[in-house]
Amino acid sequence: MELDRAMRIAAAGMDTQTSRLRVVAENLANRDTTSEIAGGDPFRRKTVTFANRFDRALGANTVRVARVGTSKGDFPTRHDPTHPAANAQGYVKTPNVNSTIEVMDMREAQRSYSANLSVLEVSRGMLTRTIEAMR
Amino acid sequence: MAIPLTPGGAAAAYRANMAAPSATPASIGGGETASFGEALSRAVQNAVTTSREAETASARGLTGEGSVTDLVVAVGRAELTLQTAVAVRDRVVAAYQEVMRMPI
Repeated sequence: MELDRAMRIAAAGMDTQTSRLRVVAENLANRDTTSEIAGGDPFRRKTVTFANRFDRALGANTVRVARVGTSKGDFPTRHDPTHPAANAQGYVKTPNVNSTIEVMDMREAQRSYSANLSVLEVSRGMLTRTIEAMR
Repeated sequence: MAIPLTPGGAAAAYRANMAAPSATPASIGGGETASFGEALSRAVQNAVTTSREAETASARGLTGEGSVTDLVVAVGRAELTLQTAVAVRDRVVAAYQEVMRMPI
């Protein structure tokens, strides 16, 4: 049934946005995570990419998380010789996480989730209205 | 209850669908000899399976396993299936009563 398919596709979209939010949460939580050894690398920002997948059982294209990778890019440094992770010159590498970018990503995940939820609600409403036509 | 996944079964389902193009799914159509009663019992069986799925999904959701979206979709499907079953039953009962009221 087409409306049923629409509901399942929307559900897959909601699931992927949930994974995206999980990655954003990891990034934000590790905003200040430095290395445990002196001069080592801190937490590297995680990125999430989506892919289109043809679901055979459903007979339609759904979305899924393709890969959770890491963001390339330099680590900002801070001069703090007393820090346990400071290198010989007294600099500490901090994670390449930008709070503003993460918060914007979170908003986007929220909006996409809401859009998929609307699809779910509309298809369910259409089905209910159609069934009511039988009465 | 399902049609066997063989070329013969597929052909039979196709024929059944061609014979009754009034939006009858292959799982309900079955074969050429399927009576209305059989079709109805299959539809009811499907409804029972759907509600069982919803039951398992809600049990998983309550214990914290599984995703909330799966739960929402499963419960929504079960609700819609029940609504369809009730609507069809009402129509069947109404038709039966209509026949019984016929003066002989």
